[in-house]
Amino acid sequence: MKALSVEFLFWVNLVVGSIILILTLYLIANRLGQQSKQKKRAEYRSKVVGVWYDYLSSEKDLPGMLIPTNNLEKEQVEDILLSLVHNIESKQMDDKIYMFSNSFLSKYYRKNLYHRKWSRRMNALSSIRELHIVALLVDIKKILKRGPRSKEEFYEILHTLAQLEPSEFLDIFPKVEAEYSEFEYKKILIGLPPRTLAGLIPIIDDLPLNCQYSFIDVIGTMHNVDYILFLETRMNHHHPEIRIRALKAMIEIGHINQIEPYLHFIESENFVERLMVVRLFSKLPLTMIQTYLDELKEDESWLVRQEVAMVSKAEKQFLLPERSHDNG
Amino acid sequence: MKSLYDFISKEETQSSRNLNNIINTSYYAVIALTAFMIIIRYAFTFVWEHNMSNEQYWIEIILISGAIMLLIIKAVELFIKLKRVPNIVKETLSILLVVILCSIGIYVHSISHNVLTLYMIPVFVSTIFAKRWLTFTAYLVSMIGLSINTWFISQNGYLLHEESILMEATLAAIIISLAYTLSHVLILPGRTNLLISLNKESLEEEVLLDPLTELFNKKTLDLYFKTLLDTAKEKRVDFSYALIDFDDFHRINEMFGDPVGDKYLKKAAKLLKDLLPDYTAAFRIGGDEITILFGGYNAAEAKVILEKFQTKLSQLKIVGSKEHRLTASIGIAQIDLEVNQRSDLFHAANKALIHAKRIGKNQIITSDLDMYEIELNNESLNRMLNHIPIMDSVENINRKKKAMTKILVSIIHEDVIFTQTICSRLKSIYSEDYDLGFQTFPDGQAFLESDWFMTDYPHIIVMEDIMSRKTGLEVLYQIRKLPQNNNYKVFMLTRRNSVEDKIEAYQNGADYYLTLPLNMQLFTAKFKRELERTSR
Repeated sequence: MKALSVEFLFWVNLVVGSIILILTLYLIANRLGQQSKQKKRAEYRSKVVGVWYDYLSSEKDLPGMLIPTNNLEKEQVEDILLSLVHNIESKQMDDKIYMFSNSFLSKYYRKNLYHRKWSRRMNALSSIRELHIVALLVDIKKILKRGPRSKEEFYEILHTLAQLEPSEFLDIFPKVEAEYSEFEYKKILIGLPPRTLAGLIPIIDDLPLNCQYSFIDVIGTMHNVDYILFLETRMNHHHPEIRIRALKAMIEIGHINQIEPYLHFIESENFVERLMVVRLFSKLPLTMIQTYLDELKEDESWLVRQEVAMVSKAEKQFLLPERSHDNG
Repeated sequence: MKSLYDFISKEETQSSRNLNNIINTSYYAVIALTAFMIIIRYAFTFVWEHNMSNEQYWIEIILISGAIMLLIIKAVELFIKLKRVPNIVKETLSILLVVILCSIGIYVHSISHNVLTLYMIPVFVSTIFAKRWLTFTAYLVSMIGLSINTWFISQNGYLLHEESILMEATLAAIIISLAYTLSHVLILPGRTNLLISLNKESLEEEVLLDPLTELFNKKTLDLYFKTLLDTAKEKRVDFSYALIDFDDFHRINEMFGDPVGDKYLKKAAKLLKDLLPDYTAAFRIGGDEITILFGGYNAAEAKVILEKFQTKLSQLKIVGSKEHRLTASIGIAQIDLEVNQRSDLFHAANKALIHAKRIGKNQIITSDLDMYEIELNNESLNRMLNHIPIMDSVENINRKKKAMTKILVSIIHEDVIFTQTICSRLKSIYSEDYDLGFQTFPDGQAFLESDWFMTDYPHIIVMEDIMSRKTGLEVLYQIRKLPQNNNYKVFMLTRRNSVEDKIEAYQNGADYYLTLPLNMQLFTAKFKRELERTSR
């Protein structure tokens, strides 16, 4: 310890102390700035949130105080409108919100659409979709033509077009080279109007596999018998996962026009297909399916045998079979 | 009489309370300094291989500095008892004086090592005032003193080990900084002692008392109100606030002169002091206005005490006048879920006091029940005068009765905008017909950590099922474990719509299961139905 010089210790102390002091001051200043902004936001929000609800849920004219004048107010208005769209169900309210957003927020979002920060552009796209700002579709198409800067932005644009301009979406969607996850495709497809969804059927084979899976799943959740014909065409698809998804969707819909397209699954090498077909047949009267059940009673998979037993038992007791769909 | 602040320590054992009272802050400081010196001594021996002998160290550093410290503290104690000198002047001068004394000591004693560390004495001495800003000032002044003294010694070459003066100064600075940190710990018991001694005679003689009535003054009220109120809330004990205003007191002053007015005010204050039980304190806050804090008493209990005061006061004869009697109007408020800030208490008590004055003076009105009865009586009177059919009045009374049943409403949702919207919507629709108390929470954890739900009031909870800290089902599970769980009605909001989820929610005790986005009309209809059921 004695070897250390006093000057050295002194200067080390001074430098470290100064750095800590400067950092502390910077943090304090930053924190104070944030706190003051947060306070202003909270004050503005609590001032207008009740007025917003009154205006949107009544026939009142738009109060002047609701029109945002600066960025802080615009951010808060955006939060309020998005929260109301997400949490409160009212057609009248949604229409008024869309109208307001198109009139007073489109300029703000246009600026953000071309912002240098990725997060700002993404947020703008998402808000444009949720607040139905159709006034900015021209700009979105312009960006699309020029080529979006990232895969995520491209996805947001697709999602927005699917919601706001389905015809344009149908033109672009088959040409998309980027592949997304099943979840992402489902997010787009689930909000599509039925006609646009039906418009995808002719081009389904050109779409990525993930998209095809999602498309069939989404059809299943819609419980619409109009899609049975399409699903039946998938039963002979060369890809086993497509066939299984189609069977699952048929089970969801719960209606079979004819039994023939499914009979080949009884002989399938894949036990999941045999399991699914038993579940699907459970929707039919026992007299129609007894022969096939007898055949599958001796199946090599215990899951299939169990399913057959359950179907036979339920049918005999004249009870509707109730089981969770994911236990096989 | 026990001091008001003692009610806070009700749960502590008698022995620990006695110990607190016996040990004075200054002794704390001396003990701390000595302990600190010993630690430094060993630190120097082992780390810096210091060559000072044990005897030298004990005599020169520990004993001498301890004695100096004790002398200085006693001197400061005497100094602060001086009347007519503002507190701030006393405190600042004390610290400056100590710094100067230390500087002289160090200068004279500059041949020894480590003596610069004596600058920690002002820091320790400052703790007896139990004020953080003063300790910080002492620390700053000590550091400045240290720098000047170091410079002076090195310039004049008094130090034998001239080459190590910077080292000495750096070490002294570190030690003083440590002392400053330690002094913050010392301030805590110091502050408690100061509060506990609110009623001690030594302090009563000083700045805390109003010289005329010998009640506490307004400054004391300002100083300790928040601490007392916060502690009452924390310990969940009752806490009431009374405002006393002597009726037509200005007339007594006008008729008999100010000295006579003062005399009767003094007598009234004495009556009050004699009547006040433990854990209460009276403060003169204006000419003839007195405030009383009742720690551990609710408004009804405070009213009983003050009724005795009114009776005693009415027996007080004013010499020279048979007609005039000294009377007082009193407004009382107590803390509850909504009235829990000083301003709330003041407004509620003041409102009650104004009512007391309006309905004929010499009255005691509590802010909750009495006010409601008065309102009802006034309304009946007006109706009789205006020949309004009695049926209408009965309806109105029923409405008021409905309003008497307080219902708590909690909205727990992560989206603050949604909670505000729901809250303002429900308030605007139902606040006129029902006595509703609203509170919003960002998540289940915040709700469960609050005191809000631990009451016997009927309680309607509107919450989302998925939240980041404690899910809706977890909150529900906690609530249904409570003995009075029937008081809670739960609206579960969800984005999941499967039958299994619904069954799970109902099995765990949800009363309603609504999907988001919420249909407001449906929700308000169900909410109204629940309000009607609950208020029955």
